[in-house]
Amino acid sequence: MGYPFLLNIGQASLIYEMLVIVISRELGPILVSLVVTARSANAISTEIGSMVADHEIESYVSVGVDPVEHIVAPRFLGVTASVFLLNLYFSFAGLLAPSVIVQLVNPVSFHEYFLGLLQTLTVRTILVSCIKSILFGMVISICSTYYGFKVERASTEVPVVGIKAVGKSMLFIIIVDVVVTAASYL
Amino acid sequence: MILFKVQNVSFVSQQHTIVNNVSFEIEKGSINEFHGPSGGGKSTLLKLTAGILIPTQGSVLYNNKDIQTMTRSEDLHFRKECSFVFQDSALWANQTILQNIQLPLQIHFPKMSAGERSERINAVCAKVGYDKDLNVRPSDLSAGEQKKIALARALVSEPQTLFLDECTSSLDDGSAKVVTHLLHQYVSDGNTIVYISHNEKFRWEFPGLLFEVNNGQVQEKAIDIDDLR
Repeated sequence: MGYPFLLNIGQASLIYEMLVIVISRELGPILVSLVVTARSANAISTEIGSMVADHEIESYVSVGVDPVEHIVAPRFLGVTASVFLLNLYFSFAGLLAPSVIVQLVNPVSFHEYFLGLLQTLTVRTILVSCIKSILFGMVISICSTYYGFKVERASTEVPVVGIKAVGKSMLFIIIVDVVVTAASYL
Repeated sequence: MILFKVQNVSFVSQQHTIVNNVSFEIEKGSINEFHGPSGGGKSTLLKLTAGILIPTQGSVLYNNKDIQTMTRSEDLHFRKECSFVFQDSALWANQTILQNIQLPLQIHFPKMSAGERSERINAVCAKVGYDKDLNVRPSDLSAGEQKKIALARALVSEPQTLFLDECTSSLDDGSAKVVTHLLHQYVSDGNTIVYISHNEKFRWEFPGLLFEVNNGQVQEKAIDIDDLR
Protein backbone atom coordinates (compact mmCIF):
# COMPACT_ATOMS: atom_id res chain seq x y z
CA MET A 1 0.00 0.00 0.00
CA GLY A 2 2.87 2.36 0.69
CA TYR A 3 4.57 1.49 -2.55
CA PRO A 4 2.94 4.24 -4.74
CA PHE A 5 3.86 6.84 -2.13
CA LEU A 6 7.47 5.66 -1.95
CA LEU A 7 7.52 5.61 -5.75
CA ASN A 8 6.34 9.24 -5.88
CA ILE A 9 9.10 10.44 -3.58
CA GLY A 10 11.70 8.42 -5.42
CA GLN A 11 12.35 5.97 -2.59
CA ALA A 12 10.84 2.84 -4.14
CA SER A 13 13.75 0.69 -3.01
CA LEU A 14 12.75 1.31 0.62
CA ILE A 15 9.76 -0.98 0.12
CA TYR A 16 11.98 -4.00 0.62
CA GLU A 17 13.32 -2.69 3.91
CA MET A 18 9.81 -1.84 5.04
CA LEU A 19 8.54 -5.29 4.15
CA VAL A 20 11.39 -7.05 5.90
CA ILE A 21 11.18 -4.94 9.07
CA VAL A 22 7.39 -4.88 9.35
CA ILE A 23 6.66 -8.47 8.36
CA SER A 24 9.65 -10.47 9.52
CA ARG A 25 10.86 -8.54 12.51
CA GLU A 26 7.81 -6.84 13.99
CA LEU A 27 4.46 -8.08 12.75
CA GLY A 28 5.32 -11.76 12.24
CA PRO A 29 6.36 -12.73 15.77
CA ILE A 30 3.79 -10.58 17.57
CA LEU A 31 0.82 -11.47 15.36
CA VAL A 32 1.60 -15.17 15.45
CA SER A 33 2.08 -15.14 19.22
CA LEU A 34 -1.18 -13.26 19.76
CA VAL A 35 -3.02 -15.81 17.62
CA VAL A 36 -1.40 -18.67 19.56
CA THR A 37 -2.23 -16.92 22.85
CA ALA A 38 -5.88 -16.60 21.90
CA ARG A 39 -6.04 -20.18 20.69
CA SER A 40 -3.81 -22.10 23.05
CA ALA A 41 -3.07 -20.16 26.27
CA ASN A 42 -6.69 -20.39 27.31
CA ALA A 43 -6.91 -24.05 26.25
CA ILE A 44 -3.76 -25.05 28.15
CA SER A 45 -4.61 -23.20 31.35
CA THR A 46 -8.19 -24.45 31.47
CA GLU A 47 -7.10 -28.01 30.68
CA ILE A 48 -4.52 -28.00 33.48
CA GLY A 49 -6.93 -26.15 35.78
CA SER A 50 -9.58 -28.82 35.23
CA MET A 51 -7.01 -31.53 35.91
CA VAL A 52 -6.09 -29.86 39.21
CA ALA A 53 -9.75 -29.44 40.22
CA ASP A 54 -10.48 -33.09 39.34
CA HIS A 55 -7.43 -34.29 41.34
CA GLU A 56 -5.82 -35.68 38.18
CA ILE A 57 -2.53 -33.97 39.03
CA GLU A 58 -2.55 -35.54 42.51
CA SER A 59 -3.26 -38.80 40.75
CA TYR A 60 -0.12 -38.36 38.63
CA VAL A 61 1.92 -37.62 41.76
CA SER A 62 0.53 -40.72 43.46
CA VAL A 63 1.86 -43.02 40.72
CA GLY A 64 5.25 -41.30 40.61
CA VAL A 65 4.77 -39.07 37.57
CA ASP A 66 6.39 -35.66 37.87
CA PRO A 67 3.70 -33.17 36.69
CA VAL A 68 6.33 -30.69 35.52
CA GLU A 69 8.02 -33.34 33.39
CA HIS A 70 4.79 -34.88 32.14
CA ILE A 71 2.52 -31.85 31.73
CA VAL A 72 4.54 -28.63 31.69
CA ALA A 73 7.59 -29.67 29.63
CA PRO A 74 5.71 -30.98 26.54
CA ARG A 75 3.51 -27.89 26.44
CA PHE A 76 6.50 -25.60 26.90
CA LEU A 77 8.38 -27.23 24.04
CA GLY A 78 5.26 -27.57 21.87
CA VAL A 79 4.11 -23.97 22.17
CA THR A 80 7.63 -22.56 21.77
CA ALA A 81 8.29 -24.66 18.67
CA SER A 82 4.84 -23.80 17.26
CA VAL A 83 5.31 -20.05 17.60
CA PHE A 84 8.82 -20.32 16.12
CA LEU A 85 7.69 -22.36 13.10
CA LEU A 86 4.48 -20.38 12.57
CA ASN A 87 6.54 -17.20 12.57
CA LEU A 88 8.77 -18.61 9.82
CA TYR A 89 5.69 -19.64 7.87
CA PHE A 90 4.03 -16.25 8.39
CA SER A 91 7.17 -14.34 7.37
CA PHE A 92 7.64 -16.48 4.28
CA ALA A 93 4.03 -16.04 3.19
CA GLY A 94 4.06 -12.37 4.21
CA LEU A 95 7.06 -11.66 2.01
CA LEU A 96 5.84 -13.84 -0.86
CA ALA A 97 2.32 -12.40 -1.13
CA PRO A 98 3.35 -8.79 -1.93
CA SER A 99 5.21 -10.06 -5.01
CA VAL A 100 1.78 -10.85 -6.50
CA ILE A 101 0.00 -7.75 -5.16
CA VAL A 102 2.73 -5.40 -6.40
CA GLN A 103 1.96 -6.51 -9.98
CA LEU A 104 -1.33 -4.61 -9.74
CA VAL A 105 0.33 -1.34 -8.67
CA ASN A 106 3.63 -1.28 -10.46
CA PRO A 107 4.64 -4.46 -12.27
CA VAL A 108 8.05 -5.63 -11.07
CA SER A 109 9.60 -8.88 -12.21
CA PHE A 110 9.66 -11.64 -9.60
CA HIS A 111 13.40 -11.88 -10.04
CA GLU A 112 13.85 -8.19 -9.27
CA TYR A 113 11.46 -8.38 -6.31
CA PHE A 114 13.18 -11.33 -4.65
CA LEU A 115 16.61 -9.93 -5.38
CA GLY A 116 15.58 -6.69 -3.64
CA LEU A 117 14.26 -8.64 -0.67
CA LEU A 118 17.33 -10.84 -0.34
CA GLN A 119 19.61 -7.79 -0.47
CA THR A 120 17.68 -6.20 2.39
CA LEU A 121 17.16 -9.32 4.51
CA THR A 122 20.03 -9.50 7.01
CA VAL A 123 21.06 -12.25 9.41
CA ARG A 124 20.38 -9.80 12.24
CA THR A 125 16.75 -9.35 11.11
CA ILE A 126 16.21 -13.10 10.88
CA LEU A 127 17.87 -13.61 14.26
CA VAL A 128 15.75 -10.93 15.98
CA SER A 129 12.59 -12.44 14.47
CA CYS A 130 13.57 -15.93 15.64
CA ILE A 131 14.56 -14.77 19.14
CA LYS A 132 11.27 -12.90 19.48
CA SER A 133 9.19 -15.88 18.41
CA ILE A 134 11.04 -18.24 20.76
CA LEU A 135 10.69 -15.83 23.70
CA PHE A 136 7.00 -15.23 22.95
CA GLY A 137 6.40 -18.97 22.81
CA MET A 138 8.11 -19.37 26.17
CA VAL A 139 6.02 -16.54 27.65
CA ILE A 140 2.76 -18.12 26.43
CA SER A 141 3.60 -21.60 27.71
CA ILE A 142 4.90 -20.39 31.08
CA CYS A 143 1.90 -18.10 31.70
CA SER A 144 -0.67 -20.70 30.66
CA THR A 145 0.82 -23.60 32.64
CA TYR A 146 1.48 -21.36 35.67
CA TYR A 147 -2.10 -20.13 35.80
CA GLY A 148 -3.42 -23.64 35.15
CA PHE A 149 -1.72 -24.85 38.30
CA LYS A 150 -3.06 -21.85 40.27
CA VAL A 151 -6.47 -23.59 40.51
CA GLU A 152 -6.81 -24.89 44.04
CA ARG A 153 -10.13 -26.66 44.44
CA ALA A 154 -13.22 -25.47 42.63
CA SER A 155 -13.99 -25.84 38.95
CA THR A 156 -15.31 -22.26 39.06
CA GLU A 157 -11.67 -21.14 39.28
CA VAL A 158 -10.95 -22.69 35.86
CA PRO A 159 -12.39 -19.98 33.54
CA VAL A 160 -10.82 -17.31 35.75
CA VAL A 161 -7.32 -18.72 35.26
CA GLY A 162 -8.03 -19.03 31.52
CA ILE A 163 -8.71 -15.30 31.29
CA LYS A 164 -5.67 -14.51 33.43
CA ALA A 165 -3.41 -16.71 31.29
CA VAL A 166 -4.50 -14.93 28.08
CA GLY A 167 -4.28 -11.45 29.61
CA LYS A 168 -0.89 -11.98 31.24
CA SER A 169 0.53 -13.69 28.14
CA MET A 170 -0.43 -10.71 25.99
CA LEU A 171 0.99 -8.25 28.52
CA PHE A 172 4.31 -10.05 28.82
CA ILE A 173 4.55 -10.53 25.04
CA ILE A 174 4.28 -6.76 24.57
CA ILE A 175 6.85 -6.11 27.32
CA VAL A 176 9.29 -8.67 25.87
CA ASP A 177 8.70 -7.26 22.38
CA VAL A 178 9.56 -3.74 23.53
CA VAL A 179 12.71 -4.94 25.31
CA VAL A 180 13.95 -7.11 22.41
CA THR A 181 13.15 -4.45 19.80
CA ALA A 182 14.97 -1.80 21.82
CA ALA A 183 17.93 -4.14 22.33
CA SER A 184 18.06 -4.98 18.62
CA TYR A 185 18.68 -1.33 17.75
CA LEU A 186 21.54 -0.91 20.22
CA MET B 1 7.67 -52.53 62.17
CA ILE B 2 6.72 -48.90 61.74
CA LEU B 3 6.02 -48.01 58.11
CA PHE B 4 4.82 -44.41 58.35
CA LYS B 5 5.73 -41.89 60.99
CA VAL B 6 3.73 -38.67 60.83
CA GLN B 7 5.51 -36.04 62.93
CA ASN B 8 3.87 -32.77 64.00
CA VAL B 9 2.22 -32.33 60.63
CA SER B 10 0.14 -29.24 59.89
CA PHE B 11 -1.49 -28.26 56.62
CA VAL B 12 -2.80 -24.82 55.77
CA SER B 13 -4.76 -24.11 52.59
CA GLN B 14 -6.22 -20.74 51.61
CA GLN B 15 -5.45 -19.45 55.13
CA HIS B 16 -7.44 -22.26 56.74
CA THR B 17 -5.70 -24.75 59.00
CA ILE B 18 -6.99 -28.13 57.81
CA VAL B 19 -4.60 -30.36 59.75
CA ASN B 20 -3.14 -29.04 62.97
CA ASN B 21 0.05 -30.46 64.51
CA VAL B 22 -0.77 -34.14 64.09
CA SER B 23 1.50 -37.05 65.00
CA PHE B 24 0.87 -40.79 64.69
CA GLU B 25 2.44 -43.98 63.38
CA ILE B 26 1.27 -46.69 60.99
CA GLU B 27 2.60 -50.20 61.32
CA LYS B 28 3.37 -52.56 58.47
CA GLY B 29 0.60 -55.06 57.76
CA SER B 30 -1.96 -53.15 59.80
CA ILE B 31 -5.46 -51.90 59.03
CA ASN B 32 -5.97 -48.24 59.78
CA GLU B 33 -9.00 -46.05 59.50
CA PHE B 34 -9.35 -42.28 59.45
CA HIS B 35 -12.80 -41.56 60.75
CA GLY B 36 -14.67 -38.41 61.59
CA PRO B 37 -17.18 -35.84 60.40
CA SER B 38 -17.17 -34.47 56.85
CA GLY B 39 -14.80 -31.54 56.45
CA GLY B 40 -12.75 -32.65 59.44
CA GLY B 41 -9.57 -33.08 57.38
CA LYS B 42 -9.57 -36.86 56.80
CA SER B 43 -8.88 -36.80 53.06
CA THR B 44 -6.20 -34.13 53.48
CA LEU B 45 -4.54 -36.18 56.22
CA LEU B 46 -4.69 -39.30 54.04
CA LYS B 47 -3.03 -37.40 51.16
CA LEU B 48 -0.41 -35.97 53.52
CA THR B 49 0.40 -39.45 54.82
CA ALA B 50 0.61 -40.79 51.27
CA GLY B 51 3.01 -37.99 50.27
CA ILE B 52 0.61 -36.50 47.74
CA LEU B 53 0.31 -33.20 49.60
CA ILE B 54 3.29 -31.44 51.13
CA PRO B 55 2.83 -30.51 54.80
CA THR B 56 3.02 -26.82 55.67
CA GLN B 57 4.85 -27.91 58.82
CA GLY B 58 6.23 -31.19 60.10
CA SER B 59 7.28 -34.30 58.23
CA VAL B 60 6.08 -37.72 57.11
CA LEU B 61 8.61 -40.54 57.28
CA TYR B 62 8.29 -43.72 55.24
CA ASN B 63 10.64 -46.46 56.43
CA ASN B 64 12.38 -43.72 58.45
CA LYS B 65 12.97 -41.56 55.35
CA ASP B 66 11.38 -38.16 55.00
CA ILE B 67 9.13 -38.31 51.91
CA GLN B 68 9.90 -34.68 51.07
CA THR B 69 13.65 -35.18 50.93
CA MET B 70 13.58 -38.43 48.95
CA THR B 71 15.65 -38.62 45.76
CA ARG B 72 13.84 -39.29 42.48
CA SER B 73 14.64 -43.02 42.61
CA GLU B 74 13.62 -43.27 46.29
CA ASP B 75 10.39 -41.43 45.49
CA LEU B 76 9.64 -43.80 42.59
CA HIS B 77 10.25 -46.77 44.86
CA PHE B 78 7.94 -45.25 47.48
CA ARG B 79 5.21 -44.60 44.88
CA LYS B 80 5.51 -48.17 43.63
CA GLU B 81 5.01 -49.51 47.15
CA CYS B 82 2.16 -47.16 48.11
CA SER B 83 -0.91 -46.63 45.95
CA PHE B 84 -3.84 -44.30 46.41
CA VAL B 85 -7.50 -44.62 45.46
CA PHE B 86 -9.13 -41.20 45.31
CA GLN B 87 -12.61 -40.42 46.53
CA ASP B 88 -13.66 -39.21 43.07
CA SER B 89 -11.54 -41.83 41.24
CA ALA B 90 -9.39 -39.10 39.61
CA LEU B 91 -8.84 -41.04 36.40
CA TRP B 92 -7.00 -39.19 33.64
CA ALA B 93 -9.80 -37.95 31.44
CA ASN B 94 -7.71 -37.57 28.29
CA GLN B 95 -6.54 -41.19 28.38
CA THR B 96 -8.33 -44.47 27.82
CA ILE B 97 -9.01 -46.92 30.64
CA LEU B 98 -6.20 -49.11 29.32
CA GLN B 99 -3.75 -46.18 29.37
CA ASN B 100 -4.92 -45.26 32.87
CA ILE B 101 -4.06 -48.71 34.22
CA GLN B 102 -0.96 -49.04 32.06
CA LEU B 103 0.85 -45.87 33.15
CA PRO B 104 1.91 -47.09 36.63
CA LEU B 105 3.32 -50.23 34.99
CA GLN B 106 5.23 -48.19 32.41
CA ILE B 107 6.74 -46.11 35.20
CA HIS B 108 7.52 -48.78 37.76
CA PHE B 109 8.25 -51.70 35.42
CA PRO B 110 9.79 -50.10 32.32
CA LYS B 111 11.32 -53.37 31.18
CA MET B 112 8.08 -55.36 31.38
CA SER B 113 7.09 -56.84 28.01
CA ALA B 114 3.85 -55.77 26.31
CA GLY B 115 2.43 -59.27 26.70
CA GLU B 116 3.21 -59.45 30.39
CA ARG B 117 1.78 -55.97 30.87
CA SER B 118 -1.42 -56.88 29.07
CA GLU B 119 -1.72 -60.08 31.11
CA ARG B 120 -1.36 -58.18 34.38
CA ILE B 121 -3.89 -55.53 33.32
CA ASN B 122 -6.45 -58.18 32.38
CA ALA B 123 -5.85 -59.99 35.66
CA VAL B 124 -6.33 -56.87 37.79
CA CYS B 125 -9.46 -55.88 35.84
CA ALA B 126 -10.90 -59.33 36.47
CA LYS B 127 -10.06 -59.02 40.17
CA VAL B 128 -11.95 -55.73 40.57
CA GLY B 129 -14.85 -57.06 38.49
CA TYR B 130 -14.44 -54.92 35.35
CA ASP B 131 -15.08 -56.92 32.20
CA LYS B 132 -15.94 -54.25 29.63
CA ASP B 133 -13.99 -52.48 26.88
CA LEU B 134 -10.66 -51.03 28.00
CA ASN B 135 -10.37 -48.67 25.05
CA VAL B 136 -12.96 -46.18 26.24
CA ARG B 137 -12.47 -42.90 28.11
CA PRO B 138 -13.38 -42.54 31.81
CA SER B 139 -16.26 -40.23 30.85
CA ASP B 140 -17.89 -43.21 29.10
CA LEU B 141 -18.08 -45.13 32.40
CA SER B 142 -20.42 -44.86 35.36
CA ALA B 143 -19.07 -43.59 38.70
CA GLY B 144 -18.99 -47.16 40.03
CA GLU B 145 -17.03 -48.43 37.03
CA GLN B 146 -14.61 -45.54 37.38
CA LYS B 147 -14.08 -46.54 41.01
CA LYS B 148 -13.24 -50.11 39.92
CA ILE B 149 -10.71 -48.78 37.39
CA ALA B 150 -9.19 -46.50 40.05
CA LEU B 151 -8.75 -49.55 42.27
CA ALA B 152 -7.29 -51.54 39.36
CA ARG B 153 -4.84 -48.72 38.64
CA ALA B 154 -3.79 -48.67 42.30
CA LEU B 155 -3.34 -52.45 42.49
CA VAL B 156 -1.65 -53.06 39.15
CA SER B 157 1.85 -52.27 40.43
CA GLU B 158 1.31 -54.63 43.40
CA PRO B 159 1.86 -52.09 46.18
CA GLN B 160 2.45 -52.99 49.83
CA THR B 161 0.32 -50.14 51.16
CA LEU B 162 -3.03 -49.01 49.88
CA PHE B 163 -4.63 -45.67 50.75
CA LEU B 164 -8.36 -45.82 50.13
CA ASP B 165 -10.56 -42.75 50.20
CA GLU B 166 -14.18 -43.94 50.16
CA CYS B 167 -13.31 -46.86 47.87
CA THR B 168 -16.77 -48.44 47.98
CA SER B 169 -18.81 -45.29 47.42
CA SER B 170 -20.80 -45.40 44.16
CA LEU B 171 -20.45 -49.20 44.01
CA ASP B 172 -23.48 -51.46 43.95
CA ASP B 173 -23.73 -54.16 46.63
CA GLY B 174 -22.34 -56.89 44.37
CA SER B 175 -19.33 -54.82 43.31
CA ALA B 176 -18.74 -53.69 46.90
CA LYS B 177 -18.59 -57.36 47.93
CA VAL B 178 -16.03 -58.10 45.19
CA VAL B 179 -13.88 -55.17 46.36
CA THR B 180 -14.22 -56.19 50.01
CA HIS B 181 -13.16 -59.76 49.19
CA LEU B 182 -10.23 -58.44 47.17
CA LEU B 183 -9.10 -56.21 50.04
CA HIS B 184 -9.41 -59.08 52.53
CA GLN B 185 -7.02 -61.06 50.34
CA TYR B 186 -4.74 -58.06 50.07
CA VAL B 187 -4.57 -57.62 53.85
CA SER B 188 -4.12 -61.34 54.48
CA ASP B 189 -1.00 -61.18 52.28
CA GLY B 190 0.57 -58.95 54.95
CA ASN B 191 -0.10 -55.64 53.23
CA THR B 192 -1.16 -52.39 54.88
CA ILE B 193 -4.33 -50.43 54.27
CA VAL B 194 -5.23 -46.96 55.42
CA TYR B 195 -8.80 -46.06 54.60
CA ILE B 196 -11.61 -43.59 54.97
CA SER B 197 -15.13 -44.90 54.76
CA HIS B 198 -18.57 -43.84 55.84
CA ASN B 199 -19.90 -47.26 54.86
CA GLU B 200 -20.58 -49.10 58.14
CA LYS B 201 -20.50 -52.51 56.42
CA PHE B 202 -17.05 -51.81 55.04
CA ARG B 203 -15.84 -50.53 58.43
CA TRP B 204 -17.15 -53.67 60.06
CA GLU B 205 -15.23 -55.78 57.52
CA PHE B 206 -11.97 -53.99 58.24
CA PRO B 207 -11.59 -53.26 61.93
CA GLY B 208 -8.18 -52.03 63.02
CA LEU B 209 -6.63 -48.93 64.44
CA LEU B 210 -8.98 -45.97 64.37
CA PHE B 211 -7.76 -42.40 63.97
CA GLU B 212 -10.58 -40.09 64.90
CA VAL B 213 -10.05 -36.94 62.82
CA ASN B 214 -11.93 -33.82 63.80
CA ASN B 215 -11.10 -30.16 63.19
CA GLY B 216 -7.65 -31.15 61.98
CA GLN B 217 -6.82 -33.01 65.20
CA VAL B 218 -6.31 -36.75 65.57
CA GLN B 219 -7.20 -39.09 68.37
CA GLU B 220 -5.99 -42.69 68.15
CA LYS B 221 -8.06 -45.65 69.38
CA ALA B 222 -8.90 -49.25 68.52
CA ILE B 223 -12.11 -49.83 66.55
CA ASP B 224 -14.83 -51.25 68.76
CA ILE B 225 -16.65 -53.85 66.65
CA ASP B 226 -19.62 -53.76 69.00
CA ASP B 227 -19.95 -50.04 68.32
CA LEU B 228 -20.09 -50.72 64.59
CA ARG B 229 -22.71 -53.43 65.05
